[in-house]
Amino acid sequence: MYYRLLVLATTLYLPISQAHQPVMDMAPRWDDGFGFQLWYENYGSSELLNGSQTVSNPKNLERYVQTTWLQGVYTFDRSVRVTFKLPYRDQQRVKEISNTATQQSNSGVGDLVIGVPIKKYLNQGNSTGNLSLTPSIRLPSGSSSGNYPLSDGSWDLGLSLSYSKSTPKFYQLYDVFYWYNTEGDRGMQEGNELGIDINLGYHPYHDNLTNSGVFVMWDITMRDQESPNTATLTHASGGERVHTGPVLVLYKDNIMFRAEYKYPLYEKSNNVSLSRGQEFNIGIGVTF
Amino acid sequence: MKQYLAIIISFTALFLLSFPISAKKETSVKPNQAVITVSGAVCSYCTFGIQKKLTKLPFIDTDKLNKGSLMDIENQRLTVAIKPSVAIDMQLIYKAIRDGGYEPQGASVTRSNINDTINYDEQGQ
Repeated sequence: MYYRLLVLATTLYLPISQAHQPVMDMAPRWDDGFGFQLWYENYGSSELLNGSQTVSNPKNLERYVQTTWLQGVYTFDRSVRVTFKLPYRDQQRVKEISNTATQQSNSGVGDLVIGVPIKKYLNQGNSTGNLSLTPSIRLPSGSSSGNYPLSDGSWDLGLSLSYSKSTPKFYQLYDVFYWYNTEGDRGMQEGNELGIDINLGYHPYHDNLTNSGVFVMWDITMRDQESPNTATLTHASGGERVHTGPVLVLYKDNIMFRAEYKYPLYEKSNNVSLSRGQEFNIGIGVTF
Repeated sequence: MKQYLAIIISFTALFLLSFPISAKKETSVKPNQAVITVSGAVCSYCTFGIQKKLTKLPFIDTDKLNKGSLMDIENQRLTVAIKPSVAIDMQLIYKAIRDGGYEPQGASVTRSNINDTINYDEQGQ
């Protein structure tokens, strides 16, 4: 079985074996550089899962979440940065409460995430890469009140290890992270989460004169989250998932636009819960 | 889950093996220009900081090229326009590149006479 998959992967891969880059993790790498990005995420579905199997959903349960992130970065020098990510979340769901389908919604500012990427750059002729270690903290800036809170009210700790490398035509990024979620308000505790992100890209067009270009990538997102405890009322749900899909990036000078679509290739819920569904994300960033 | 991990690992391994080795192109240096080889300069979005810092140097001619400089990411060559009859300081250009996150590997500078090109090593000497 593995051999057949490997042959299939090889066959699919060959036509795109010329690939590349620029991405926010690569900029700003200059001293005293800074940047901002607006990033919109949209996911949700009415598909009910029991483990990895889709089961009937007679009460039409559903969940949809739209999040707009304001993100910022400041680079002290290329080896040390500080970043922030502040979400504004708009969430709706139909949940079964006392055997009745109940509609719930909420919107507002979510939890602020602050990170300190520490990077080691490796410039080698026609390639550049960096190894990055990023400790992060998630502050409970979102409201934990109501029957569908925006936050569990906890202080959470994250650690990420990533590696990226690019040449004029290819880009690759690998990131492994872990979030340790502590107990917050009202006894809520979202499960700890392990994640792996992979981006493989091709840079088909670049114009030196106008400093502009296009590149395309393939994104693979893997998550494994422990089940939240029964007191948790947020959108968190435990389980494993693999989302994957194409990414399009356009850039000119110091402005970058990115759009991505992710398809749920594999999902396995720890309990009966809703699928995350398809994702559509779009963003624009600028560096100075 | 293991099957998907196997596919992903296979893709990644094939991707890593497919990186090409490119050959450098030789380019001539025009009058009042400096051409600097910048190791790892393969992304114009990432090298924006070099160009930003170069524009602050008094001897850079920001009316030429793209605000005084042009990055060729295929060949990792940075071309800088220099104001005629103004002395340049190669150490300041190298500092701008280093502060921009990269390492200069050597440079060639031509002033008014195209047959009078000066070469610098990676220390700017």
